[in-house]
Amino acid sequence: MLVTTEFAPGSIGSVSALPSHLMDGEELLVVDVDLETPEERTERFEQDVLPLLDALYAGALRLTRNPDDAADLVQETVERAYKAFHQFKPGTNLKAWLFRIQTNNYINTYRKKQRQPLQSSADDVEDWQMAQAESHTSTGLRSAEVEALDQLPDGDIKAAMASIPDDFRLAVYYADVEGFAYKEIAEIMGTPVGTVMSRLHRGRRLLRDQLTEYARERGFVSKTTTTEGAS
Amino acid sequence: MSDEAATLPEGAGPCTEGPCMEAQQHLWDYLDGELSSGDCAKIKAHVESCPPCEEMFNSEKKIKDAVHRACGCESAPQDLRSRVASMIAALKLEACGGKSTANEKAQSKS
Repeated sequence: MLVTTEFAPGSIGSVSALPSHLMDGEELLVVDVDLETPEERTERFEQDVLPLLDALYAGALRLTRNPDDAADLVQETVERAYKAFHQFKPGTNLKAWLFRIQTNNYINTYRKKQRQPLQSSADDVEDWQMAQAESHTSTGLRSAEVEALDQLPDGDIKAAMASIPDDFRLAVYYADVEGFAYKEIAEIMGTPVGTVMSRLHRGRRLLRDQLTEYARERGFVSKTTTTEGAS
Repeated sequence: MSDEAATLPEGAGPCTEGPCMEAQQHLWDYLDGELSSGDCAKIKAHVESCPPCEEMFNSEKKIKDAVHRACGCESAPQDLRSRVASMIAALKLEACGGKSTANEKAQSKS
């Protein structure tokens, strides 16, 4: 059941394109994992991982769409991370490493339990090129609709996110909330970068459609808005 | 070409050629920070000088910002924090229990 064997030493830990904001002023201590005592490792784990609990929980909520399941998922993720911590390369992207564990944990455990998992359709490099083409032949939002988005409550945004397929939602979450690079998202989700881009394009398009619908339901934009939208 | 393009006033939408096309193709690479600084500057220069492209970029950016704003600020419930703290304490005991001979020696001396 443990995923310890899944992470080749330094695999996700050796992501070269680390966004600087994720390094957050933390000291890049050169820790020799082999010389560390179990006590020291546990202390390092507590110091480095516990501050990321909020981020993990937020991510878990997007995965499970349910606070109780999210809390359970985070707890299991932390447990697996602790047991695999000797494999994490200190100084590399811990948050991405943790999200990788959490995403795998979700796929292996929770998604199987869902009666109707919202999985995306097959996505590959060709799909992303099609998706890109689609997103640019459709017109963007009119000005009035764009302004209306600012008025939508957070609950609507979250609901719109919850309505799109898992894989799309996750990719959008990792990009827009956590600011991971495409390469990092690819490692977290265990897919090629092209697939990440496809999921982002499609997810964002679905999101835009859903948000526009909410804006119309709330009366922020006319249901018949056409050219008058430009303000 | 989509039907809606026919309802746009002339010049109101981005054109589908040249620099506009290139900018649109890299819209998300740009917004997601995936472009090199040179390419980024090039796209930025075009967008800032092309109102239809600027409108398109701004509208997509608003969605990105809305997701960031709405979905990022969840705090882990206190109950979860307590459970995790207890779990780590238990795992710590399990991991360190039989190995801290130095501690045992120290304790036996006091």
